[in-house]
Amino acid sequence: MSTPVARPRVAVFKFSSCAGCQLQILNIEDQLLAVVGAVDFAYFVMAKRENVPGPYDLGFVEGAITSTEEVKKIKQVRGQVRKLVALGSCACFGGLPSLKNSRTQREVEAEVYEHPGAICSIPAAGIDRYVPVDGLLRGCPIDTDELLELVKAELLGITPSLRTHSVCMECKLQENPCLFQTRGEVCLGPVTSAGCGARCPSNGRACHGCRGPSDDPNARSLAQAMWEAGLTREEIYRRFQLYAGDTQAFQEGGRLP
Amino acid sequence: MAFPMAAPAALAAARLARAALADLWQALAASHRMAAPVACDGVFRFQETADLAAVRLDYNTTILPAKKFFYPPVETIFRFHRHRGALAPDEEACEARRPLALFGLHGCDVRALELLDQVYTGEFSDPAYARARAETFIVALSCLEPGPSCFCTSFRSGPFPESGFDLLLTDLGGHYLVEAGSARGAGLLQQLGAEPADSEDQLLKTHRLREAVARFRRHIPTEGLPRLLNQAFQHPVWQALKDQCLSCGTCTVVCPTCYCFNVWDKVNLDLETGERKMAWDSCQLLDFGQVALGQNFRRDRAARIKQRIYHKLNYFREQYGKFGCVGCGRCVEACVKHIDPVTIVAALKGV
Amino acid sequence: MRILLQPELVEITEVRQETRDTFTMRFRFPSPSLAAAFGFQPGQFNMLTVFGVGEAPISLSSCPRQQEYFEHTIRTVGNVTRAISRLQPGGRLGLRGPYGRGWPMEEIKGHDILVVAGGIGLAPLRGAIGCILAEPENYGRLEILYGARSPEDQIFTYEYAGWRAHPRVALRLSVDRAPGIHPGAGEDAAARTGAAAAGTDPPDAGRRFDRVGPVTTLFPDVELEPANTAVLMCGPEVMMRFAVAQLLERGFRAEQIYVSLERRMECGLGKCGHCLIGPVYVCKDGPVFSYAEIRDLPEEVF
Repeated sequence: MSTPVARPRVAVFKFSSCAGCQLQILNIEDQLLAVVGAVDFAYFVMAKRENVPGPYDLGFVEGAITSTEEVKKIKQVRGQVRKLVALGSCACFGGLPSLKNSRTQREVEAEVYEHPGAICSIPAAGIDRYVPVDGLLRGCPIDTDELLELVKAELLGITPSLRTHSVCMECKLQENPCLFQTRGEVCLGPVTSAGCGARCPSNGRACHGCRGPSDDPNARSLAQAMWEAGLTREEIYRRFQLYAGDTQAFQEGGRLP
Repeated sequence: MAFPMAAPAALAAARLARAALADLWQALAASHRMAAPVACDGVFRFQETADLAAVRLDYNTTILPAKKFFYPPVETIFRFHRHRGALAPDEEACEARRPLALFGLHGCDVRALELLDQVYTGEFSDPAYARARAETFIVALSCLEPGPSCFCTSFRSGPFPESGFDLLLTDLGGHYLVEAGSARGAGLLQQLGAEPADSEDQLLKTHRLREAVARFRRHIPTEGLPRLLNQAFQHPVWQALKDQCLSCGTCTVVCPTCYCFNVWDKVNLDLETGERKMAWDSCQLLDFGQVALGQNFRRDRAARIKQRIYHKLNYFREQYGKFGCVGCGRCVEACVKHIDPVTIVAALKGV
Repeated sequence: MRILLQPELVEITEVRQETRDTFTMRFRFPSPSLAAAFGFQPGQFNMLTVFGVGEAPISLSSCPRQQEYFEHTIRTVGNVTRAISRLQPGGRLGLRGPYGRGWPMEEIKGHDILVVAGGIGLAPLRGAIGCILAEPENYGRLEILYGARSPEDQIFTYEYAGWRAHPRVALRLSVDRAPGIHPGAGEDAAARTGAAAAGTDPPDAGRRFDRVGPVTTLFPDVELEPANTAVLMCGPEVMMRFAVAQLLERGFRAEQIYVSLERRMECGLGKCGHCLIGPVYVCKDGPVFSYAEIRDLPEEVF
């Protein structure tokens, strides 16, 4: 929440990620021109050749922090932007890169690189472990509607209303059959943050929790239901580990007694 | 209520051959949009359909209740211009639609609509809701086979509805007994020219009712229920439920008597125009009781669970004179953790 | 619900900054027919809209006897109030209302009145005070206890001299903290007030205090007897919890104590469900309740 800036200067930075969330910015298609008119993409390496140095009004950061070098870089980015938004689940809470965190760095380095000597990787984390963050756009990838809501709120000088209740709310409002209940598919919707419009379950695919924990999640209780549905401890652990395994809520889910 | 549907006794009753159900459907469809239980993806939904063949009168329950026809899950309240305020509605949006006929509603869902009427047409009556309700023709259906989660007999909302319909269909095997619950229902029967029902049909219906009631295995004893609840606010069962409940809000979305909503503005990218919207909200969600300063009046999950159960089984009665639960069982069916008002009350009673 | 939730346009005619984060806005309806139709009771609220931002319930803070305009006193705490704070005279807001049950001005006639307010909680009580002072023959004595965080956080300071000027009114002020004064240093504070009262002019005439501490530290100074006194109270719930407890101890009955509650509201009409406490809708059954009405609700208020 702050006084609105006429045409805010926006920067998009990439850390350890697949670039899919940046791509989502370009995927707003019919609205992209309107957005480009309203904000100045001063720094967006994926989208344009000429990029202008900071400072910027709004910085979007995609990707997890996975090396000491990136720790330094994210702190520099923070110094250049007035407001910092984590773009996508990797930047929010580690995302897929955080899958490696259950093993030692040496193990995972050796698995990928023949000569891992020059690699100084650290456990993957969301950017908020190292710098203060002003906003989160969850999802793998981010939801373009949420991105637009955030941009509009910024232009109006208000806090965007991105509710983080369960995916189930959005799923039920569309009158989807519950995959957990009707097909015995294990779905993380009850403990995962909404905002995606329940996209996966609406297309017959269980929620994998890409948007991380919802408000007041009870992952332990859901894990119990997964156990009763026939999953092994290992399988339950993996389900919670996939996107947001480093969040406290999903760690609790993955640790069935 | 000003609705012409609250006739105390059936104005007329007729026998309808199974094949003649199509005549009833056709007669209604001539002047109504027809909505009925339809199967899809292995579940049932109330849906608008022109085709009687798609209608599944053997359905047990639907995912969402019939409230969605009068109070949509998400709705635009008005469009606005940021500096000019609320804009007059489009002519198009005002275009009169044909009235709705709900075909095959069970007693629980009929009662639920009567309860929602208390909220929406009482003090600060909502004219759009009242109009939609008044013009909607309801063909109710006596429920012969309770679903595994049903407990409507506890609240006398089923299995055979007693009020709140224009026509009531009861399957008597070879034919249907059709009873009118309103003048317009009786009028339609007249128009169909169906053979009048006799005392044998009524006897058969009573017999069917007795059979159906006997199939119910689940009950909430309502005698002394408010007193029980008033003394059970600190009962350990609530802490146990807190460990179970996922706070996902599903139970309230599928509940036919839940009516809470939230309101928000959605601005277009021109930053000048937009819409004020409303959508079903849930008291089970953490931010439901939160005010601007950050204070949250129901932060504890146990308090939110209690709010739902107490509103259905206690507060609604104090507010509107009737229990707010109709025993449809949807919340039980939809809950991943099978949280169940029937077992909660049993636990409170120490059964 | 669409018709019931349609706001009308109102125009801002004046803005007064009360404190760092609180301001009072004066409004009038551009439409003469709406202006003529609009009337309210002190303690009622309106739903105020900034189109594109949202809607929030805000207490009316002016005296309903003033028919040329009405006022809201607003603290910037969220999106809507912040957006309102950016508007200037001539700007327009959406408004629905008035809603709710206000202070029981009829029932308390013939009684002494004790007003207990904390922070922005004085806003819905200003209209009630105005009504009482406008017809003093109908009420007994009036004691106003007002607690603010600091002297700089006091609102309506320009009213204090006028209130004090009435022979049957006592105004007592407390602040949670004041520069150089520690809680409990009531004597010093009182002395300082005496000095300040000697000759100051508006707008700072009110920025002084009698005691340091929560508003309940003023209770020992109260002269009204419980027997024939009605209490009107509004403030943070934690303040009201302690204040009500102490008043009950002093011999006030729950029926004599009226409190105004705050809850989340989306409609103001008893439909959206957010403000429910047990079977009670704060929006339409309140926001003013006698303590007796809310004391025994299963979901504890305070």
